[in-house]
Amino acid sequence: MKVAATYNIKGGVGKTAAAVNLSWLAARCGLRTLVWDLDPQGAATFYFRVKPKVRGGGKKLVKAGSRISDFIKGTDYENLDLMPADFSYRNLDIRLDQKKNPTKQLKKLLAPLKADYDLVVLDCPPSISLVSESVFFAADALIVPVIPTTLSQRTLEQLYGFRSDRKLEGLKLLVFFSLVDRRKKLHHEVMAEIAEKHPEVLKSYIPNASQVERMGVFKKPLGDFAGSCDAAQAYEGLWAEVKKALWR
Amino acid sequence: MDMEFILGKETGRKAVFAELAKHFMVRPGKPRRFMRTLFDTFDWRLYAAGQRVEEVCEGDSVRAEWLESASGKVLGSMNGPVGRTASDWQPLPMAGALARTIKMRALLPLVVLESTRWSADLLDGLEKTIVRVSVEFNKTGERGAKAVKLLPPVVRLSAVRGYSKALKEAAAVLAAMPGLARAEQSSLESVLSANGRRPLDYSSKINVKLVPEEPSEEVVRRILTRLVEIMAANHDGTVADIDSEFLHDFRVAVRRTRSLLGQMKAAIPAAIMQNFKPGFDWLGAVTGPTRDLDVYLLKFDDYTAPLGEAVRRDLAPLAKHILRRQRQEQQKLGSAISGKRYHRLIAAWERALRCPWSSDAEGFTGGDPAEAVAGQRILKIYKRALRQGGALTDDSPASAVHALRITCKKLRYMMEFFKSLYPSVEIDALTGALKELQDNLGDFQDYEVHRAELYKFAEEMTLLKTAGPRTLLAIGQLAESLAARQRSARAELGRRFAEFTAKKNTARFHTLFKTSERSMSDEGGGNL
Repeated sequence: MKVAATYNIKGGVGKTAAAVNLSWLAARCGLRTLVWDLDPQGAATFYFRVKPKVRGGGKKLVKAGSRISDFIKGTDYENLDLMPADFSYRNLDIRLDQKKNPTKQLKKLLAPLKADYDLVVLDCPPSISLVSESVFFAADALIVPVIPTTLSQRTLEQLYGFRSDRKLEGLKLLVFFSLVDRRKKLHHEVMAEIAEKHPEVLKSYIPNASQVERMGVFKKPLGDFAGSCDAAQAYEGLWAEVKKALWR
Repeated sequence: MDMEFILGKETGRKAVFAELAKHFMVRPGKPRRFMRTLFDTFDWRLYAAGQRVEEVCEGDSVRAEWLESASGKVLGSMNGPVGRTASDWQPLPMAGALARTIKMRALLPLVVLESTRWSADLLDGLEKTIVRVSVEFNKTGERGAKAVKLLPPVVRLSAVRGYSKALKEAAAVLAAMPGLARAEQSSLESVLSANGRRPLDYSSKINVKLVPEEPSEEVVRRILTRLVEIMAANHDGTVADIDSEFLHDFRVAVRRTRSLLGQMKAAIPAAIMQNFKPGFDWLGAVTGPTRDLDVYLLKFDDYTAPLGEAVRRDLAPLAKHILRRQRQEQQKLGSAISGKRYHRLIAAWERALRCPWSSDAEGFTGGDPAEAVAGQRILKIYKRALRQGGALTDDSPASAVHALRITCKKLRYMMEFFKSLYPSVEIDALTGALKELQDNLGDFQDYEVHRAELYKFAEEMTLLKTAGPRTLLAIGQLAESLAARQRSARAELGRRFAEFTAKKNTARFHTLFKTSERSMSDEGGGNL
């Protein structure tokens, strides 16, 4: 079982869209996939039409002896399940902090799912917190959407620095450009600059497209209602790269 | 968990959806027509694990699905036809998981289903699917034949994880509906039985129920008959080289036959021995080279795993060479066991096994009770194993370890042949202890033979110019690695032998088999 987390310190960069679309593509190609919506806003949960409710909330979840499998919901798609968000996840940091080895808790919760899933996608809330540190310990890779702007470039460097400080070199960073506006010169420049400094940045990028925003209207992954649009094709390319990197 | 109902003739599919619509929001799906071929291994490994593999053809698309039979849960799937072996399912990570169930066996088509499915989703207030419903009409037949048998239509409720309450509610609605009955058999069982297929109808185990007082010659003939059945079941798969287990089971049946002829020769007329022993010795010889190369190929990944990626890359030509040699030997084997000599041998052997054996020769024990003869023989081999193992020192040559291995193999075969004569708890405990020792002896011998063969392969590859200096160096590294593994197997042997010959096991052997020895001497028999 591989664990990948869509993560960025910044918000509004396309993390949830990436989590939903990549997990849908993973399930479609036959991988038994679980999305865990760790963001209390519950956007991924909303896209899959599931109630954003975990009985007992984050408190019960991190309680000793708790089984995450009891809270999982099937989605409308074969091979694709969801661990819903809950508003109480806003206090997940506090819950984790009350435990011994707080950063190892998420990994421990995921361990019993090994036989059930080939891929777990963690949709993370923005910022660096105890939850995100737990994610770093649990994940094989972070899928990092980056808007090609100067500020995003800065937070990306912070993330590389954080990984190095925490000695997490084994954690793959799968960085891709998101919300790209091909008409903007700045986007082209920043993309070139980042790609030069970090040649490992993925080749596929996701355009800033209204179809992606319409996911909220249809409450569906992009491929299910507009599979042939540019953005859907871009996610397919991104998934091919992510899959290759995860199972290399 | 799926729930299945049989749709009665007088009830239409529309009535099912209409009834559910009274209780749930129903989103109808598009009707689908598709063809499914069910697959399993020759020895039903998927069925035994509660799983199945299907190849689904719909329009232009072909999809392979690996499913849990009871729940319909997808364990893995891929676009394209069913991979013949687990490794063909790569690069998806399920290849490893599937390999844990089917191991080296190939997936073979069992039956074909031609299906028309009407489906619908039952939704909750958020228009989220909470139960899947389908009504399926199926025709079935063997692969290659026209699908002709009609199966009763099936209404299936498929659970969506986390919505078990909704599944129960939908099931209650259908259970109360006239013209629907809960399916007594799973749809898999119905399809197999409609095609005259009986799951688990093959086993390589002896499974011959013996009676203690039965004459030895009769018991020997019955076991030999079972062994020739196993050979016949595996013959075509061995010739076609479908997977390595066909030859494995075929060869084990030949070895067991030779072993039984050797161990129970006093219960077998001399003429039978003269007529057939050379034939089975020949079969043993012609099946050996291919099996040895099969074992090499099966162990290749394990052997090369510790050597690192660069060395493994350099060893790729060696793997190719072994595969080419395997194909050459397989061709020779295929011709040998497709030829007249083989068929004449087996036909004459089956005839010889049908009639009781008798002999006036002195020392013929064919009429003595099986339990007595077998017990005495087993104890004798056990004592030989004790002597051989006890005489081993750190300086003993590999051939002495090999001799112990052969004795243990004979002992194991005899215990398996006559298993049904003894309390299963006792004999299973002894067989388990023996197996632990045999695993170690088997590893030691494999390392010995495979290390020696590496030099032969290196010479052949040098002549064929298929190995460059890097490959030859890598072969040297592999030989050293196998030597190290052989040394650790040898170091482990003492402990395993001590465990096998521990007091409790020795006592068990004597209690279990000495009774028979005594009863034999009480009756004045015993020439072994």
